[in-house]
Amino acid sequence: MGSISKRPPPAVPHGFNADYLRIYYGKLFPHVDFFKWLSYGNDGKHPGCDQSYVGRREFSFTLENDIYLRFQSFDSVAEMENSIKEKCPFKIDIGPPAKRHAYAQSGNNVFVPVERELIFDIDISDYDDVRYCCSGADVCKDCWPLMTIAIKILDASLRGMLFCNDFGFNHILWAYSGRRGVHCWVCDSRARKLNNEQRAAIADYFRVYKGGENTMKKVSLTGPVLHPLLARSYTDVLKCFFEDKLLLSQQLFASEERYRKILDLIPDENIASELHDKWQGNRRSSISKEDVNATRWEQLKTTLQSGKQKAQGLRRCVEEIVFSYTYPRLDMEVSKHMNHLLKAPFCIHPKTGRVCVPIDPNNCDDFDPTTVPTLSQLLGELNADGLHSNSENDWERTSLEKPIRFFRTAFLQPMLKACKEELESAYNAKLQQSKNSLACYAVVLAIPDSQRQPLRIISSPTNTTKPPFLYAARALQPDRRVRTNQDARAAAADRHSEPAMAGSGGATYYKGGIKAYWKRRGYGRLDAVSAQRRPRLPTAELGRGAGQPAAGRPRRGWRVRRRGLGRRLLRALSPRRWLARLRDAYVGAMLRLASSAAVGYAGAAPYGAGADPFALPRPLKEYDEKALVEIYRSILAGGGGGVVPVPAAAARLPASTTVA
Amino acid sequence: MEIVRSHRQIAAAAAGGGGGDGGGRAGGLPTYRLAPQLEVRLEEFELFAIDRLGVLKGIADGLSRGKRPEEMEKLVNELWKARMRRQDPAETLNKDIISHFVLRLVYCRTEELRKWFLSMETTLFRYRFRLESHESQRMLMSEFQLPYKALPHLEFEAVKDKLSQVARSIGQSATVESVFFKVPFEEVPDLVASRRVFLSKGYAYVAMSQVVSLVVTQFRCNISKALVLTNRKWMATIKEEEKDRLTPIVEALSNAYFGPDYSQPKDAVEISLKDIDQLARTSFPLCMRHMLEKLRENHHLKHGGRMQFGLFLKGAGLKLEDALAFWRAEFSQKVGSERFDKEYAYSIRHNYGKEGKRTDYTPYSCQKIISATPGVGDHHGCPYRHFGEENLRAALNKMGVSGHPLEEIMDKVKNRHYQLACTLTFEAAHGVSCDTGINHPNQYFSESQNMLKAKNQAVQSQPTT
Repeated sequence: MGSISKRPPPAVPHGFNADYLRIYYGKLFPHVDFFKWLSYGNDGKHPGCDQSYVGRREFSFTLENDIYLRFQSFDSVAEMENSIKEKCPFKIDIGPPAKRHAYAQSGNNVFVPVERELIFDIDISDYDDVRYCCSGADVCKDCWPLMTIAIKILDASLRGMLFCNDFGFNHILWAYSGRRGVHCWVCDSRARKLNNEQRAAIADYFRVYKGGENTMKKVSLTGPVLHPLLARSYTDVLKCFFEDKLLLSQQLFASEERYRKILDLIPDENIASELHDKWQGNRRSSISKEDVNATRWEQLKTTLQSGKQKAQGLRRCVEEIVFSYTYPRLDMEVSKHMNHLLKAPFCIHPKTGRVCVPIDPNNCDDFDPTTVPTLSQLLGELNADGLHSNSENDWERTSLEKPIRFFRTAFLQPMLKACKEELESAYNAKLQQSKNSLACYAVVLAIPDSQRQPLRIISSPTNTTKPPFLYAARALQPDRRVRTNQDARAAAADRHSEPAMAGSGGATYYKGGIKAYWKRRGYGRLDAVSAQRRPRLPTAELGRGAGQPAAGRPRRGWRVRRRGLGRRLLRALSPRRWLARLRDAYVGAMLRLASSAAVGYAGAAPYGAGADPFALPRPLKEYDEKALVEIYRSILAGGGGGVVPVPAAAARLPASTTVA
Repeated sequence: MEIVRSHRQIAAAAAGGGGGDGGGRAGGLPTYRLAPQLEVRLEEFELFAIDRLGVLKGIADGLSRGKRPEEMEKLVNELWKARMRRQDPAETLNKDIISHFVLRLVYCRTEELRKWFLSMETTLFRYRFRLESHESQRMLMSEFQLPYKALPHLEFEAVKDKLSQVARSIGQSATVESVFFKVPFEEVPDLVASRRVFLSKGYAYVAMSQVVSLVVTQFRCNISKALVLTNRKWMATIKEEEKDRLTPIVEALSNAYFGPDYSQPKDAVEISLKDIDQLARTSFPLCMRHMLEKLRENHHLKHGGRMQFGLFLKGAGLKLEDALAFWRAEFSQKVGSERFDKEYAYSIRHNYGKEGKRTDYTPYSCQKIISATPGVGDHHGCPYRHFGEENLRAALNKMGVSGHPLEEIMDKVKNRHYQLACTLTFEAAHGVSCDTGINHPNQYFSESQNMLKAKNQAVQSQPTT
């Protein structure tokens, strides 16, 4: 290996440098979704949220020239976004949320991970002994399927599906690692709470391939039948893959060196040498019609499985060969310990410039690592119809759109929904507990709500686990009334319909205990900021009309909500919606007009000469300002619709030949 | 003596719990929930502890030899009989309980001690549980308050095929046991790890014969918590209070069995860079010799190898500067010295306690090396355990071991006595017997060095006389 892998000198653009990265983080990286994911619902306003949760998670940045910044943490998405934009890390790793060990005896900086996604890491370079098309960090379409079947096997076992669901996890994110492998994040709260031993157990459950460089036979399957996991993997995935694809694509029996490797796995030397002689003899003749690999594999199978081979080891040998060539090889250490860092999705691999996009396990056959968007490609796309953005999210105009949408819809939203539900039930359980302990508190004071003075419960706690709550009467305008959110059933009910308390008016009846009484009277907790809960993720997507709530728009508190058809009909007919649609249609049409070749400049793709704007070494800074002004004018002249002023960051977009 | 006796029943009842009177349960298995309130004479305090430590140490030995469960069961049974059994079952129980709580005190003080004690006690409990009758097994289960009920018949029929498939896959008969428990898979990590249960939707279907795993998980959890609590108490009060009485005993006991950890080279031995190859030929154990060879060949070692070999060199007396120079000389040929400085130098300094949390890492013991799981491209681990037979023979031949000793070594390997095999290799290579056995690569190294030194002195002194 003479190639000393050093970063090329900056004079040679290679599709990855800090300037490009800065634009990527500024315009494309999905900060909000990313942060939402890692806060697992704890960033909401629900009183059950652990606000410190996400701030305890370790992020690690790798800056240019391999400078490591470990133990970064962020309390809010803005903080994270700013830090990422400012530091512009070449790589972001995600660590576990930790807490300082209260009883740490040694050192003063001992952090203990409190939970951790269950993670798996599979690298194609671990398959080097069974692939002949590439080696090391290279991949091609011939060997990538090895990753695909690894995804299939693990996903089927981890995920709760109908027939094969060993572990019953639901929220699993598969991501391309950017160069040579895949990462898997299992994010169910149950998975996050596993301890090291349990993690190791799961990793071991999947492990079939054993042994280092110094053993011939790495897979040994014992017992008269296979465990359901292995049997299922073999019949559903591995066998077909080996026979239909791998045999041919890797030419496993094509040369002596290669088939010798397979014959070495046969414990019976006689059979091995018999086959060896046979194949060596007819090397020439058999190349006629049928593929030599398939025929030789058939011969091997019939020899091993024929009736006279009674010994069980030999019958099992066919399976062992298939397993050692195809079964997923996990990097065990990554999965075993909670404190392992793993590269975040949506990072860019510095060597390849490819984005670590999520992979859809249901369509993983279609995933092709060579067509994953690269940094340079994305910036090209950003430039291509650069400045008339019809959306507030720049990524919607690039090939990052599909991955981000997939991340949202298939992974993030269902997961957050589950997190919310869990938070809610945990919170309610806690409340129930405190309610029980509250029941023995003696209430001394009750002030009628007309006086609107803070109401303090003076209590004589017999058990001191819970501090007494502070309650205050809130102003009682019907719409501003704060929901107290304390009774589980009421909470569940008022998500859909009018909360019970509105109907109760001022009538005082003592049913359901003191808490319910306060609630009916409209008292709210002082320390709870507000009591919103909505399982839906507040995403801002302009193109979708006004039906969805936009981020940051004030919530409406509680109000009469119609359910079902009526509500939908009402929404569909609402004039606001029509107006929004009209606006969208207009904007869309104008944009199409602006980007068509008929109008001025845009058709020529402002900067994009060909697919790769980085193909030619060019100094970047010279025409930026000039070029931008030009484009801006030409679009204005063409009557383009949604032109926005160019933000400062865009001024540093790379230029190329056409703009001279 | 009388006072002590009067408290014995209490001890049995308190710690044994559940099983009624201690005498009623022959070979009763206590769960060590509560520390007994009783007086123990100081010499018993220590003697009982030493006896139990002997058992635990024996178990550790057995584990490191990679014994099979059946062998372990036999071993535990024998150890127990030899060291703990007394004539009166009640007294056995008493000794059992007292010694456990003494050792708990001894082994609560550092993370490493706790870990060792926990895993040994758990293993001991596991095999003792297996020796119990079904009756008392059930009793213990209820004592741990495991909330699991046997699988209802309907559900059982639905998964019967799968259950029998699993049973056959681990070499049991195809007829399925009828009593199964459906538990969250987190409760039985060991069964999951070895694929000995059927998993579905996050539940593991545990057969009655595997119930030991459930109980052991619970047991382990209890002891683990108790150890942390004990530690806190020890640190806060007991250590001071017992400064003159128990503390010396306790501290001596915990040191007694770990032996030197080789983190600091003994007697300030130093080895220098230029000696490494020569020393490797004479005094390195096979695992280290192999890694050095591979390092020279590939100019690279993967992480596991760097740890195992690097820490060994450190233990053997290689200074940090020399270590950096050593690794740089090799790695720079493959990755360039710039990248070495960036990516690898840190972890070497880290090993020497100069970076990060600044722990002075100890060289790996044989037990740790044997239980390693080298993956693709890895060269670390124990050759006797992780090499294929052909490769091992070749490697031993290269060391100059052949003929009868070689066969003997291979025989030990087949019976999974890896450390014995290593000891035999030592003997074959040095032509002397090694009575202590090899437990640590650095022990191999220092014993070899001592022996060579003695030989040299003998040679030097001969001409003068």
